[in-house]
Amino acid sequence: MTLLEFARGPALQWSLVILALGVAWRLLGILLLKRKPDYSEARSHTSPAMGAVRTVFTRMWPRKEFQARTAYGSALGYVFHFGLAIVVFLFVPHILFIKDLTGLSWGGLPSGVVYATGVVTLIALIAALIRRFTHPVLRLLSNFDDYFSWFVTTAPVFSGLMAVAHLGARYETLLALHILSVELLFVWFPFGKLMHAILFAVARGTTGALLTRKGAAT
Amino acid sequence: MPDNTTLGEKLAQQGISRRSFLKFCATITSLMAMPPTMAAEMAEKLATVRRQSVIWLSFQECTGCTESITRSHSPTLESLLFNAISLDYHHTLQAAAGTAAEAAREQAMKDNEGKYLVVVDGSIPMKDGGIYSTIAGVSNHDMLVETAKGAAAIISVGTCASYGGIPKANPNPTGAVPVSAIVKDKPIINVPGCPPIGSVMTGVIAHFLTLGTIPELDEFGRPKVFFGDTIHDRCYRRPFYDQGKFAKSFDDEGARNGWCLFEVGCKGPTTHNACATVKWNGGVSFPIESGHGCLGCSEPDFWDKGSFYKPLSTGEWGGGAVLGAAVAAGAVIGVGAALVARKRQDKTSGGK
Amino acid sequence: MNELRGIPIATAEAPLATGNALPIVHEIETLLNELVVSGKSASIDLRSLPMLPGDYEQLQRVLGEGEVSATVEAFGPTRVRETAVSGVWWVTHYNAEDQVVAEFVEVAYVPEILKTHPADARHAIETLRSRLMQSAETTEGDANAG
Repeated sequence: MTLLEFARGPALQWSLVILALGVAWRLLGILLLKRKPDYSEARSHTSPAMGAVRTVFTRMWPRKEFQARTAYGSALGYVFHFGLAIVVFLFVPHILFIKDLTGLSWGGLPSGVVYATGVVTLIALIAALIRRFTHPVLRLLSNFDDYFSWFVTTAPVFSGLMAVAHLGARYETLLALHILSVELLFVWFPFGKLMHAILFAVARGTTGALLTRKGAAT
Repeated sequence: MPDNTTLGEKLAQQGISRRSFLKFCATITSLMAMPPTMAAEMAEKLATVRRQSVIWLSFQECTGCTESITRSHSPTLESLLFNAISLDYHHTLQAAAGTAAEAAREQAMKDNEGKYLVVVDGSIPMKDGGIYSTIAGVSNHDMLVETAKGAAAIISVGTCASYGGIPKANPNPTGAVPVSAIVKDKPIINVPGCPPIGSVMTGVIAHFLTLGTIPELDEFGRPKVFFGDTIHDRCYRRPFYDQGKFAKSFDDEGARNGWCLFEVGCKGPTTHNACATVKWNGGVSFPIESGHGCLGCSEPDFWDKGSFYKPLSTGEWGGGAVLGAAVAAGAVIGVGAALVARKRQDKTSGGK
Repeated sequence: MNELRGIPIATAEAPLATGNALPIVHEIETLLNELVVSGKSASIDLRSLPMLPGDYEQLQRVLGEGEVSATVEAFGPTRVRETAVSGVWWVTHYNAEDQVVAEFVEVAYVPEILKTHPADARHAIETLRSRLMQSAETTEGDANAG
């Protein structure tokens, strides 16, 4: 079996199984935890649910007081998040992959536009790593999870660009490495900080619900 | 009896002029991307060589490769090539039959020991002692081993001889293997394709005849001059791929506009062959130009790489049932983990 | 709309070109210099570069037409045309079905395919003698018959 056949066959199947199993496990394991009952009186009449939803959006950009210190990091984050969204969801071969899995499909962008976006995304990801490494506080707080999650996100972007450019090895090998790097991301996704993709809403929502009940600003 | 007439003499006897020969060599050098000045050198050299003995062994094959190489419209380089060689054994093209045919083969092997060219099409069955394909009572394996002994080089024509092809496809009931799995001590050139393009086969044979050397090969043993690029990298529909214009099904608007066939399963990006440049039937067309995606027929095991009609960016992921089961299993573990965690929460909070 | 008529056909307006014609002319200039200085002939394989109809037209326009045109009948015609640039020849090889099998721009005093090979000339002495004898026999026969 060649590397490409392995990547498109057993590796794909197993990584998706681990992704599905892991996400179900982690989500249920978190959502079914007990919440401390709040015996104090609600200080606001806004429903906690409304507050939860509102907070998901208010936290999308740092508060004025912190912007000087965090605006660069947040901006960088948005650049590579949008970049990843464009590359993953608006490149036709990727759309076809999703269509094969889910039956859903939509129109894509010209491939040249996607390649350019991929390059910008890669630059933003590298800049983010440099920031994490050189900022003393971030450096102190960062652990394996942070760096490995960065790696499994950056590897698909890098390997995808290399495959398109036919640089470094035979095309079939580059394509296989690209697919395997995505499968590595699938396997890591449920167990590390990449779960923020789902849990960010849960975390912001929980904070929002609590603060709203207390009548505090969200 | 060994034929000692030179090629030049033989051609002159048949009224084929030196100029025709020069034209033939010019065409070959152009086809094989060699410098044009080689044409005259090649013609000079060829005129003085003895006609090359070629033994063509047909094993588990469909005869498509022979059909491809003989599909010439009228005197063209293919037919000139058949004048340049002494085709001493070929099931479809020879006049002799039965024991006379086998005797001709053995005689040619004896007379040209160490110098004859062996061309093989078809795979070799190995299961049950190789009884699934025999010629004159001799198994393909034994005939190949015996014939290869005195060969100068072997050309495996077609995907079956190069990599096993359709007989080797799942479940491979005859235990089919390619030539390279059996012959280990002779230079082998693989010219895959199902079938290979006629002029590609001719070009490779002509290269060996005229220069006496093997052209540069890639890691799958294929001549780089024909198999160095993928179909995708030379496809005339590439601008549409780059612009994101795809045919979504056969005969839809996009298909009629000649848009890229990636969505209907084209395997061009991972297939190495000359179809997009040399094309078929004397440069008339090739599958994509005729509206059907590339099957990947010059790659090993192309029959077993998933549907010809599913895009290359999909894979074999097992189906919804498997993933559904995975989610269910994860849910069970998740609930279990939550229960354990809740007990711990009760303990730390003192049951409140 | 399931008939052939229903399929729209769009035709291109201007002949497409890649711009590869002018670089070829520059290469021809280099080869022509080489010919004049050292007498070495050379060929450019027109099939080795991406050439669209517009490129051929441009190349033909720049090179023009000369005085000599020859056809060689060898497994189909080969047309040799001198261009307006002395020493630069356009050689097109066709097969018996009038399909182009190869095309070259040759920079030489005489294109290779027009030359007579020394070995052929040597054999030709015999050929001439036998043709002369044949012709003599026929004349004798005529004389005897008449």
